[in-house]
Amino acid sequence: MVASAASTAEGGNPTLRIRGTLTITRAASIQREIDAEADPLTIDLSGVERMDTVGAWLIYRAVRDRHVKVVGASAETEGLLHEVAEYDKPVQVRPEEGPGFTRAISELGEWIAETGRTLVGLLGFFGATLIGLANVTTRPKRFRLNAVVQRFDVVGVRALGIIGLMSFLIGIVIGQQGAVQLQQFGAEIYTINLIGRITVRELGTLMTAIMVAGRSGSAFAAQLGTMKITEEIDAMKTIGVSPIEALVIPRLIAAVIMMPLLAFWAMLMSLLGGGIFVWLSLGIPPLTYVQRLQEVIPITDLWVGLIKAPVFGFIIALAGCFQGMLVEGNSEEVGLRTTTAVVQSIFLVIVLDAVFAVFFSSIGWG
Amino acid sequence: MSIETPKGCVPVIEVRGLSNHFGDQVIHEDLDLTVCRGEILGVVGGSGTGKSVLMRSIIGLQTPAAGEVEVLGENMVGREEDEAKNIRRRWGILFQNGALFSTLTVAENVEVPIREYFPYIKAPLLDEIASYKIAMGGLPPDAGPKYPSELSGGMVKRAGLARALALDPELLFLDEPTAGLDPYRRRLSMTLSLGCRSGWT
Repeated sequence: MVASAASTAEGGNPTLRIRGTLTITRAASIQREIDAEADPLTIDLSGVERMDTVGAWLIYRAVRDRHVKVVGASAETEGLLHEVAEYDKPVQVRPEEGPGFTRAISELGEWIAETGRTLVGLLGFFGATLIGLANVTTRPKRFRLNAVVQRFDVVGVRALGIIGLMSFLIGIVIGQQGAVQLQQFGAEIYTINLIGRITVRELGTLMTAIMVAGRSGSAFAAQLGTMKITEEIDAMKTIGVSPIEALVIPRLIAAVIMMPLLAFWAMLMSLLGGGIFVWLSLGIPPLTYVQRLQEVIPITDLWVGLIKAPVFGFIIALAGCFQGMLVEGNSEEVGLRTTTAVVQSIFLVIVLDAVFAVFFSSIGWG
Repeated sequence: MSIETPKGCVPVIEVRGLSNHFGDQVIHEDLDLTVCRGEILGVVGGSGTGKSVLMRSIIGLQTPAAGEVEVLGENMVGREEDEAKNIRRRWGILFQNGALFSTLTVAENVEVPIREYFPYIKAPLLDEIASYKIAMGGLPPDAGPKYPSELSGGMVKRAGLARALALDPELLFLDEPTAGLDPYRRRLSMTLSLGCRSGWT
């Protein structure tokens, strides 16, 4: 079917004759044709075979905004024109935006206010979990053992493989790097001191915390966030189940209890990796290695590592659950909050680690 | 299961011998269905009787275990992705829960199909089209720049309807259109007068 628009001048007034289909497919070209003509214009629709609402809209807006007369419209076309006219309402399509400068200032202000609200919110959330914990301890029947055990499995047992492998490799890397440097002084035996002290005191716990934040902290935020979007959490509240008790506390307990266990496992695996390295590369037999470890690692190092672990676990679970509970609206927010949860918890863990380092040194556990 | 086809029928949907099952659970067995141009077909049934699965098989989101499906004269089962494009601009689909793109505003949602198929339509005209489609969907004037998360359930559905109507479809599929909507009858008659040939409930 040939569709065309032809313009002629009849009796002084230019006339635009539209033939064939007047649909969205030709919207752009028809609009150009109409715009090209001068006022006053007559549009002849007698040759139109098919028209859709976009076509009708083009004709309608020409009539509305300009000095345009429509002739030759069939009953059906006429009907559609009226129909479209009925839906010409001042619908807002784009959000209102102020000038760039004020927008930048207001964005900065909103950001600051948001940060403040988040901090207050985190404090409030911390309080709510403490109240929840108190409720659970005073009424042990409300303690959800199954949920906690399930979290133990997800947070702890299933992380053994990846954390073990990671720590094993870190042990080898520390051994290798240490040996290269210490060999220059002929002091490669001190590689064992390096491996032993750094993994037990610092890296075992820290790397485990980072891994748990990435694995479980993100999962907490995503799970709770999705439940928030699907209104599961609202449903829970209306039934009378406290989301803090049912969702947050099991995750919190699991993270707090699993973190030291995982950290201990990470220390062992690092020592194993380092041990294998010094055996194969420096020729120090395993027995000597173990004996030497016993001599150089003070027991306080182990305490330092293990005392930090549950605190880190608590921070990770708190940040994850808090961000998850903050999710509102759409699925994009879940991703955003999950990222924030991981970044926040790793940042807080490192800050706290520094605080712990200072604290333990000053009480003489250096 | 077969129904007499009226005379002078131009079929827009033809389903023959459709079978669907999930594992052991049989949803459809040897189902035949013909929908003619201009016909409004409502499918009624209890929960879990396969209404949505039937719609999904017809629009090609679910590959049936057996059977043929033809929509607007084109085969829907096992066809190439390119062929499917032609048909996709001729139908509009309203999903059960609206299925609006949550990161786009209502107006942008309505503009998505238009942008996809007619990229040369300029922004001012595009906005005008979106604006009257939103009014047609029965949404208030301030709904355009809102995000789906800021809308009520019924408004999400209306926005979904506005998006389904974006390309003036020949064929309109509505999955549970009345759930969450008040005076739907008026809307339906409106969509029909706009040249929609077949509906689905």
